[in-house]
Amino acid sequence: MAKAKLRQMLAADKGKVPYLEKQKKLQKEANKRKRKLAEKEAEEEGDDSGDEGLNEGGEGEDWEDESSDEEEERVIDVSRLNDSDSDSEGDDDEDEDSEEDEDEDEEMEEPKLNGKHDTSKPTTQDDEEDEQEEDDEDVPLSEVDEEDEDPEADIIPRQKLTIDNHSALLSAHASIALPIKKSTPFSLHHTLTTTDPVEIKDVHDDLTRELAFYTQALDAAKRGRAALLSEGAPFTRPTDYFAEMVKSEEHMGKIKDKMKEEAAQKQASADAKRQRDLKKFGKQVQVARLQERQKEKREMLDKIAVLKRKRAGADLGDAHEDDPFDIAIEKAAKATGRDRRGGGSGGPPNAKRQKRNEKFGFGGKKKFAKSGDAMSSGDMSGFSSKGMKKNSFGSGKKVKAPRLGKSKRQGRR
Amino acid sequence: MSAVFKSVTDARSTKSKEDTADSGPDKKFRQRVLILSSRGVTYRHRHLLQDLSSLLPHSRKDSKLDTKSKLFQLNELADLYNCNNILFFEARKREDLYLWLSKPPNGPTIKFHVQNLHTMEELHFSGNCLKGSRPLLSFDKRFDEKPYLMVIKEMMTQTFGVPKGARKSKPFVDHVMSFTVADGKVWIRCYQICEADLSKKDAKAVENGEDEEGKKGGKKSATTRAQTEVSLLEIGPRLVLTPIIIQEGSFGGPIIYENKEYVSPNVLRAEYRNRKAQKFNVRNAQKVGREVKRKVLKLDKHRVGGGGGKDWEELQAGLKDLFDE
Repeated sequence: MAKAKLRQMLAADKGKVPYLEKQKKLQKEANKRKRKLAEKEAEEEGDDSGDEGLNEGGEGEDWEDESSDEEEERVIDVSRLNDSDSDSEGDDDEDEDSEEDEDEDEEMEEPKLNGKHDTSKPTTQDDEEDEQEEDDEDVPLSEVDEEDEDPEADIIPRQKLTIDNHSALLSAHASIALPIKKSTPFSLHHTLTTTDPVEIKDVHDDLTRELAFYTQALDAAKRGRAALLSEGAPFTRPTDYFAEMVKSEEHMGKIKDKMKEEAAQKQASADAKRQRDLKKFGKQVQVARLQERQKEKREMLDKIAVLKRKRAGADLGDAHEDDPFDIAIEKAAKATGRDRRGGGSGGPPNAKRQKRNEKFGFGGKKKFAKSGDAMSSGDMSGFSSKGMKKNSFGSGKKVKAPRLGKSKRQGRR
Repeated sequence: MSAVFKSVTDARSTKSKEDTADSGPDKKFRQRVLILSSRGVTYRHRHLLQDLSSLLPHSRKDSKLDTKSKLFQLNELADLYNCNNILFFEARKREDLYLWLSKPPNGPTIKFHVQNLHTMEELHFSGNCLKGSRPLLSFDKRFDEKPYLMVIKEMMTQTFGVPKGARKSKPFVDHVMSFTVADGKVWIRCYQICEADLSKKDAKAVENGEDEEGKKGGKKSATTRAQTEVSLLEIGPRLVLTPIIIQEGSFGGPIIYENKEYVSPNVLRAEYRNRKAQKFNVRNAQKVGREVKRKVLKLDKHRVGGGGGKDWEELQAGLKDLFDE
């Protein structure tokens, strides 16, 4: 009873009229009693009247029990408020389990949870009853905590609570919802809901996520198309229907360019990769090719040697043998078409060519090839004293005429 | 002649009246959306606005709203333009974008945080659709699981669904908008519907086969329908919406839903900066500690090369103190 007094004081502190509250409570009580009576009557029809008296006595006890119950409930509420993760759904479930009788209290749970954040309550018809009760039950968190007599308990950090006022949300939904029934033609609303919730394993994985969206949309497109066609509504755009598009021609051109560029890039990268691979094996390939060429050449030389020998012998033979021989040489010529230019018909190049090759290139070290060294400077093989006496014409025999005497020279003038 | 014309027109007008009377729900389906943004939007936000207004022929684009605090002014604005939906983009700090979805004059308001925003311009998707064709709206089943999602779904349906017979709408359907709930967020995608006939040979073969079986022409339409293959091409834009709050009124009224999981980008940024600052703080603390140590050792007096006997003694004493501690 002391608690009841405390509550009265609290109410007075908050500026409430105790009389009204009491009336409300009484009303609630009466309701409850009526309900219980009805239940009892339904259960025990035709039972003794003596039981009724007992029942009444029980109800008197009930009244007290209920008040204490409420106190306990409030304590629970406080714990809930303190709880950081206030999942309203879970609370609802708990409530349903623990208190089957007190429907009204159950309804109050949700507003109580969010009462801390917004004191102004939604003014919908459904909630009017809730509001009244909520007012008399809602106690600010700070006041409740004072009972703990812990000075530090006052400084409770404001924890973020999820507001999820189901009844208000549902009423808001009802107030704006379009009247879509099964009979309303699909073409009127164009709304589809998937049959199963879309499951995405890893939202951060782009591919699976986009695939899920795509399949959802594709399914909707198919279903919507079927529904519209069955209704006879137009769906496909005729090919000769032209109208402005969302993306302009210019934009589409840009996109096309981009796609082309991307394709070209892809192609280029593939080519480059192929080239790289080729280069890796290029050396081997080159060696193999050289060997092959060498082999070809050798074979060809052999063939020609054989042919030459045959020809030497064929002069004595009859004309009949000439034909296959000619054919063979033609074949050989064809086959060696490429090799011909380099080495003529086989064999080493002439001496002059060799010398020149040595001097100007074609194999070997090129640098300093023309510069003299100890050997070349010491080489006096090209020198002869006779040569020094030669005139410019190269013949030593024709000696310059000796200088004439003075008189003769003057006489010439 | 004129009498005939009159009678015909009369008949028509009465008929049309009857039609409107019959299609009572049509009026309810009539939607008009006011699209506008606050000041301080970036070009991407602006392009998103542009994309949306091009996708929604029943929308009315308005100039930027000057205020960010007195959003209830939007109700009057909507009334002025006969709009019963508002899509309001609020930009903050030139980087955060919030989307307010409201149903004036007294419907609920939902505030979203817009993330992963990509406009049509930058996405380079090859899909395209008619300007003003009505989209199919595809919703995830999850939207029916929770009341706040139900409200979101309803609002989305009314804002993004182009009503039948809207002024600039085209009669054909060539795109789908899909809304999916994942990770506590609403993901929006837009696809073009491509219908490709199966190769004619196949179709003919199928038809022949069915003719042989002796099916009638009435079913042919069904078979041809089955023969077209539906595929999708994405059009854009892409965006992800995180619901923050739902208010009961239009830009006002009590909050009837608040998302606990939502973390403001400001908080995230602050945390990021703090983490970065941690390095500096640690280094600073070390520096101070070092200085304190030097003072204890009286090393600030002691210079290399100038060491006198007295200093040395002091140093020894300081060291002793330090070890004693």
